[in-house]
Amino acid sequence: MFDLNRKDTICALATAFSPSAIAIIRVSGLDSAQIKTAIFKPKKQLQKDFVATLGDIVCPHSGETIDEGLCTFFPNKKSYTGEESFELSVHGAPVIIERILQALTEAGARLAQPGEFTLRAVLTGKLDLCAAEAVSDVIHAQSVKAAQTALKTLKGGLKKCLQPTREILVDILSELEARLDFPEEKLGEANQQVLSNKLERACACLNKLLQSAVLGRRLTQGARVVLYGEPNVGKSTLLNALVGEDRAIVHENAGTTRDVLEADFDIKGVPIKLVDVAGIRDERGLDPVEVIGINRAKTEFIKADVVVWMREHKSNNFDQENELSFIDDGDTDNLAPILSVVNKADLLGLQASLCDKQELISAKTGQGLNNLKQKIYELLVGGASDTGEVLLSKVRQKEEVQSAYAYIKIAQTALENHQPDEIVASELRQAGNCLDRLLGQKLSEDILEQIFSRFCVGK
Amino acid sequence: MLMDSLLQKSAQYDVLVVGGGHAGCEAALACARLGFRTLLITNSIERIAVLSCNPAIGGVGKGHLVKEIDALGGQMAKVADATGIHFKTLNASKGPAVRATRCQSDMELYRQTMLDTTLGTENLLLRQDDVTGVILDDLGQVASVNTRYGGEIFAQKVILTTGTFMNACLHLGNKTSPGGRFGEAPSDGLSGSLKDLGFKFGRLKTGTCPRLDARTIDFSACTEQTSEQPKPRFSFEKSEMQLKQISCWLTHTTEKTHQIIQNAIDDGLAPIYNGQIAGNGPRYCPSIEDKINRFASRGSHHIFLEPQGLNTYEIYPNGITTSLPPKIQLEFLRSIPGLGQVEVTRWGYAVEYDFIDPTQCLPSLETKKVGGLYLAGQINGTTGYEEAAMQGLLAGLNAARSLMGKKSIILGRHQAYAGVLIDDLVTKGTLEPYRMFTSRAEHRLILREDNVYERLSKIGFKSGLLNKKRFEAMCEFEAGVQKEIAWLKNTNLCPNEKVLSIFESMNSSSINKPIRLNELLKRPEITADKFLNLCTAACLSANENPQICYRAAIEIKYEGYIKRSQESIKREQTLEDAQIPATIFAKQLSGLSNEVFEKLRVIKPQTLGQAFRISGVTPAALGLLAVEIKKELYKNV
Repeated sequence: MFDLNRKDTICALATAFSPSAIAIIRVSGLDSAQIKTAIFKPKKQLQKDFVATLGDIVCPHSGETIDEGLCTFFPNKKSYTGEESFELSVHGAPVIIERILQALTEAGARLAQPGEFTLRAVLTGKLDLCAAEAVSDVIHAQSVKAAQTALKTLKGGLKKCLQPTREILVDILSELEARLDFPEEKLGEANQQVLSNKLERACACLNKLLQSAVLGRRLTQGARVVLYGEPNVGKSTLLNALVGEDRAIVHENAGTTRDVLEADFDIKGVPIKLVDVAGIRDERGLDPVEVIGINRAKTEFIKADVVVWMREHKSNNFDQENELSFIDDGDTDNLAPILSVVNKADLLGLQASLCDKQELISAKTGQGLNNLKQKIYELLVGGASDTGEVLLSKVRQKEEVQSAYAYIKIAQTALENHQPDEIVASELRQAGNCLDRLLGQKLSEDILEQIFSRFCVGK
Repeated sequence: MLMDSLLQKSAQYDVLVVGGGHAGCEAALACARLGFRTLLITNSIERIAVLSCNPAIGGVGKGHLVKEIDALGGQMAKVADATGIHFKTLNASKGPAVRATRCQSDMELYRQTMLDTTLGTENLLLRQDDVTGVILDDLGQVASVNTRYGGEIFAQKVILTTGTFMNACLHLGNKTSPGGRFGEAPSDGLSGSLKDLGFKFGRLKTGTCPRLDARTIDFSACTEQTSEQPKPRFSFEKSEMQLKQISCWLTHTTEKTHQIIQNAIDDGLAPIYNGQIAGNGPRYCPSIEDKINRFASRGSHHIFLEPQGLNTYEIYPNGITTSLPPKIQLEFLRSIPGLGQVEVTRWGYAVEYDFIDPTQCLPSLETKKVGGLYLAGQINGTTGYEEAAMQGLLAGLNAARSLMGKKSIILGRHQAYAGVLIDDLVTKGTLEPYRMFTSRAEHRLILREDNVYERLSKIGFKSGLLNKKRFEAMCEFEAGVQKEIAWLKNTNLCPNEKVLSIFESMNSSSINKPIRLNELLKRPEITADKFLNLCTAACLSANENPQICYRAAIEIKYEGYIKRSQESIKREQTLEDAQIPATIFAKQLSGLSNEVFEKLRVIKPQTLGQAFRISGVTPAALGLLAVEIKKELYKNV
């Protein structure tokens, strides 16, 4: 629900989400002061309202510094929203912004819905007419983009991830609600063990989702970009070129790289672990160490966030399905996006003809590398959007999935403690509502529909 | 203009209620009791407040509504208590929020008692006639109605509670005849008159079961269900009238029953399957044809044989609504245990009728199109006596308040099932006859039968319908509850031999030092009965009013969950409080999709909370609305 409790503190990026020198993050709500204390460590003790103070922005749990920036505090009734609030001016790298928003939610804030700051300002009577008209245009623009992004996110598999859990919830709720609303039907008690197992399954689904939440891993460990391909196509050369130092041994002998080599760098602030692996070739007759290396390479392929698949121009016709046959069960749905790259452009001359989807580069001369970086960046942060909605909505998704998980846990405890069914149901409904906020669905009607199709109820 | 004011002055009545069902009775009583000259027009005075389907009041969600009617100062609860012949608390083994009272009333006595009440109410007149049209004044406000026999009747407010009678059509086998109830003519002109005024209509279907002659039933083949003792009740005070309590009987359909019905469907004899009936029936009230067709795997369905009264042989077989031809009805009935020789007194039938899309009403139940015209009951697409009565009560109350120049009473979804009911109707409309379920309420834990006086008696009293004496008694009850809660929180149970043996007997972990009563109550295995045993063993005396004990125990036992619910209500309150001036829907709102804007324009939500419940309204759309509200307010400064 659009939460407007004054106790509820919201945060959001106020500037555009794109690499920039400075970004402003805004926080508003009753807990603002407390949250500020948790995440902002001023250099000087003296802090005044309305005055920007220099300090470190830290993670509330680890205490680790995320960025250095300015913090301005606005007391109650004297801010944009009319609530107690503060603004952080930080460096504009997307990764920093994301980590700060993460830190704010850990400290007790919630990500604002589009337009929510304005809504609060209106409700507290703070916004004047001119401002209202101006922001109405902004919300409009935002909401159109947000809607487009939301559509993309849905297509991008969010629905696929959440639907099984939601189906379990609707299933359990219809079991419980049918018995609550139609006691005359003598449906018998719902089987506690079955319910409990189903809840366990729902928890497991969400937990898996949370564990694999790409976001968290990318933030803490960096995204894994794996350089993949046959021996001697120039993978190690590319690694060195991208990182800007000689990290990998480069030699004209095929099969030089045997073990997995990692190197850190970043693209526009997104931390990246570049992974160089052994070249893939027919294993027959190779020495055992190289075979182990090739197997590791395949493992890295599966773990990757983005695969840069390098070839020389001659291997133009490329049969991806055949080359991916090492993946178990042919389960290629969950694989990372693959960037097909043709190296050694310097040897090809300008007229080299390529497939549409291939990038032409030269690791040796640096040709096409900026373009390659841009492509990797787009694949990682969901390139089409520059509003930040993609990344922000990821944080929001995680938040909703986390609360859904928490509600299910409470429901589980209630069930184990033999609390009445309506209490279990009420927690599960809350969990369902969290998922529905992401999916844009309506739980109530679906539950009734299930009840009437599954149970023969009614006089 | 002169003409208008003349008409206004010459209005014969303050309020005119059309229809004498459960909605009409509550509406008329509310207006009359608040001092307004009220005329109730019905096509049959003998049929006022008739229980035309099931002779039962209450049930899950519905019992809640009846108690709310009582706390607001309405009539239904009192009449049900006085005429009840079989009472039951449903969901007694489940949690406190879904426990619900249900009674079967003596149909004849119910009708008679309600008729006597209306006849004995000051300011309230009854007249038998048929209303054929609604007439407006030059300003588009309601002015009068046309009647078949008595000509034009003027009134300041008109409340329509015509039930299933508008453009109604009965189906019994292949026979179709116009009529709202068996043997009663439909009200034809009214539907057309309202269509001419531009109201949007829908068509619904509902049905009823055949009635049986008890003298031809072998009850020894059925399972007896006795009435509950002590008798639960709907109303705050115990009724002076106490009737003998009688049993109901349980039987079931057999394979043969299913075969007979299936064959009839296959032969094209079922009106709901052969295309004869087009209206939507309720999903939760399937006819026996529907049950057998859709749940073919079920070998048997329950049937409750419910006596219709103390002085009648008629039995209502709950569970077998049907519109099959009489011959087949009799055939399948006789395949049911106990009904081998049964005779039918009345045949089951289906009725199709017009209803008005309730999103055309404001939350006060006044129509948006025609000022002074209110709609309540089945005309709004609901089903059930309780749903109808509640709407009637609120429509009557709000019509009267409008005459007094006071603001409408609009209950929140967190305050009452009445609030859920009205908000659902005026915000979402309905595609099937709307019945209350507890699962429709997002704050179910707060909307309990036991705390109804805390929730609503103050509103009832302030509105003038709940009299001072009753209100004070309710307040006293609530004060008793608070005192009891304090006692539970401040009193220790000390272990003694008796106490310890009780702990052992109920498998609850023992105590070796004194324990606070409220802590004890929070243990899931400690039920109210066991708790009282423990108190007695420890020589502690709880309040002697068992209802006070019960209610205090619930507040303690579910304290944590209740608090969580209250917090979420608080969170939503800002949106519910944010009023939207209707004027903002008059212009194009940029930034909203056409679909969403069209919905908003039609429904004209009164608060941001209501707007958010309209499907398709996103948080961003809400933000835009908030800005528009602000602009509108500035414009008017």
